[in-house]
Amino acid sequence: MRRGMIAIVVLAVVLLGFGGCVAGNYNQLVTSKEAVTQKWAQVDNQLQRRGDLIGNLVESVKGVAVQEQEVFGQIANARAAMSGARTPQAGIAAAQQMDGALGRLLVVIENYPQLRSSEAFTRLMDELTGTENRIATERMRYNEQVQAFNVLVKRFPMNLFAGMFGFSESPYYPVPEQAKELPKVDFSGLKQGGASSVPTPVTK
Amino acid sequence: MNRLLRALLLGAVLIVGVRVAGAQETGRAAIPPAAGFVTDAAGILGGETAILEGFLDQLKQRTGVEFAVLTVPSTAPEDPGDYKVRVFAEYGIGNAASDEGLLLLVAVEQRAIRFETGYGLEGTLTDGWQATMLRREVVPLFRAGRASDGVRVAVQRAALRIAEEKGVSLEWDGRPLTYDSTRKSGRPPMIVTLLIFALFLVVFMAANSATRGRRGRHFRGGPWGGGGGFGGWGGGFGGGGGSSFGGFGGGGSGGGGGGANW
Repeated sequence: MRRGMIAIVVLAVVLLGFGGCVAGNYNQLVTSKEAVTQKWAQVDNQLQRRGDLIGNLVESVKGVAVQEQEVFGQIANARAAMSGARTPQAGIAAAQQMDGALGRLLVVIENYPQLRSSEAFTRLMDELTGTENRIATERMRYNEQVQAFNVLVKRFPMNLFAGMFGFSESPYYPVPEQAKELPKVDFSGLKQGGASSVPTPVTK
Repeated sequence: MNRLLRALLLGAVLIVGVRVAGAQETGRAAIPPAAGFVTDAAGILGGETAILEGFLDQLKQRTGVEFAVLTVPSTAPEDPGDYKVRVFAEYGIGNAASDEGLLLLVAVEQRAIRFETGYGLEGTLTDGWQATMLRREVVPLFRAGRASDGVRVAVQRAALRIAEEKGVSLEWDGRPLTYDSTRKSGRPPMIVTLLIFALFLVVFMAANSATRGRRGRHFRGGPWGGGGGFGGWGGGFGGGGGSSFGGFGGGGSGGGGGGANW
């Protein structure tokens, strides 16, 4: 009888300890995952803002470059994908689609030098430059958090708990390849480079 | 004994050398410690530094906004755009809760003038406004070799924009600084201004005493070291006096801000 009691108490203590350990690990995972989500929200904010700016840019270019409907269509598609994205994966894919379309739009713009004399147009380009820098900064911070989270998820013994509770790795947001070849449109000494010169946190 | 000492010394030198080399490998430019609101590491501001310092102290006390100015000889090997983000984060410009901070960076070698806008000021100071203002009013001064005038104009214009948004007035060198627009400035009556000023003073005093330990860390050995206090009274009214600068508030930014090259 007594021996049975002791066994039950020991079992209870072990179970409690194990439960506490599980809860602690679980909470750590939740906190880190939440940080990833929050950093992604910052990236997403800027991507949406860029989408709006590009929309305005298209409006200001349309009047001059009437025959460039193909590029405008690509931009519209990319914007639709962007606003329809519900997960970081979809958002990153849409952003890459937008990078490509924007690159082609900038090539088009280079063929219409008269645009540059417009105050509204120059200001839009300034805003776009600033937003690209914001995206680069928030992307870097997002990737850093993703790295921290993924390391947490993959290391033993956390990988056991992560599998148990359905936590999987978060996707990195790679620095766009196109950005490195993005045509440099010179707006009277505007910032050059921008997103392309940001070191890739992914390869760190 | 002597030999042992020499060996130890050599070892120490080697370790330090390796560490320095390691630091260079990361491809980052050094960030000068903040000497106040204004840090003229490039030495282009001359006598303007003290006046700007007093003015930015006044701005902080009347609007709560922290506006830092940094000039560096070069940001190489970094791009000025990456460098300014790191400077903002390292200084922590602006109140940590409101993120109302602003950085003006001048990099001589890159011929770059850049704003980095704290999250809390993104609505007040848009990238487009900043870039347009810099290109129109500041770049010509830099091209004419009048760098300190250029910085002064950039600081005044941005500060006025902030003051306008907050509904307060600012003084430069004891005289009211006015908005160069045709519409009425619509300044609130004196008593309101004074009340707001008093309120900010109280808030500032509370914040200053609450976080003095943390703030002090930027300024070990500096003229403002630890104590802070209220040397800035004169700065607020006279425009040229000292500064109550006691460190930045820990605000954040996200890479936004306009820029131009001269």
